[in-house]
Amino acid sequence: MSTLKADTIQSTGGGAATLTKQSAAKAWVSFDGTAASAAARASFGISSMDDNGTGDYDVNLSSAMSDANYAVVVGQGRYNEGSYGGQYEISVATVATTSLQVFSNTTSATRQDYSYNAISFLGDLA
Amino acid sequence: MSEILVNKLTGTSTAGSILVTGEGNSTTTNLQQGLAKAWVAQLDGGAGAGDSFNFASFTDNGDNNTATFTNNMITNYTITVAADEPQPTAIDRFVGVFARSASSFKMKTFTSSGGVSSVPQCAAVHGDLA
Repeated sequence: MSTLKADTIQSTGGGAATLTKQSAAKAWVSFDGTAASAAARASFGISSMDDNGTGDYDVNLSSAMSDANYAVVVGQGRYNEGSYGGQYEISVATVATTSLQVFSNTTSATRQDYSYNAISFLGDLA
Repeated sequence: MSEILVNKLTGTSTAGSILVTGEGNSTTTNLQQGLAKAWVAQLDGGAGAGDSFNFASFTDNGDNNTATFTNNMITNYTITVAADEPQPTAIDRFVGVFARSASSFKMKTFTSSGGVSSVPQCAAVHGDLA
């Protein structure tokens, strides 16, 4: 096996190198919505979190995206196993190049804090 | 265009850390941190997957599935999910993630009325490999 060792990869012109038919996430975060200030358990490319109130969060990016048309994918945990209302959803509220506002909702559309929330950002960096 | 043909990339300062220049040419991003470390498509109620990466096995637990990694993660990883609903008239399916550990996690699909659904699950995992 051949191995290329490098700390930074650029195109020959100094820009973004093409990874053949692949695209990496530019940021991701796993956070606890029930904790003070929506504490992140782990993250990449995230500068900070804002807790705007029950089920309402801002995720702030370390590096801006090129525009607000990037893709956001989410994940949520399971709440109160085995009983009605044991599911919830994360919805995208406001998309900006440097931040994302999300809501966590019960299925009756009531905002609620939950312990496991996951978000990944895919698209172009500015 | 110049092209490098190689089977493995390794950082010189830190083996598991390589920066790549972003699309706007004004910043860099960490290649390893951005890559999905595992994913599965169309994991159905019988724990059969349409396709997957870095999963050693899937187990049908009745009303949920266990996904077990080939290469373990550091525990606090990120799982994004989707319900793969093949019927356009059926809506409101939610995939919940629970029992996360370094080696596996579980997923359960709900209906909006709180019932269990067998609609296939999709998931992507980001974070640090152990």
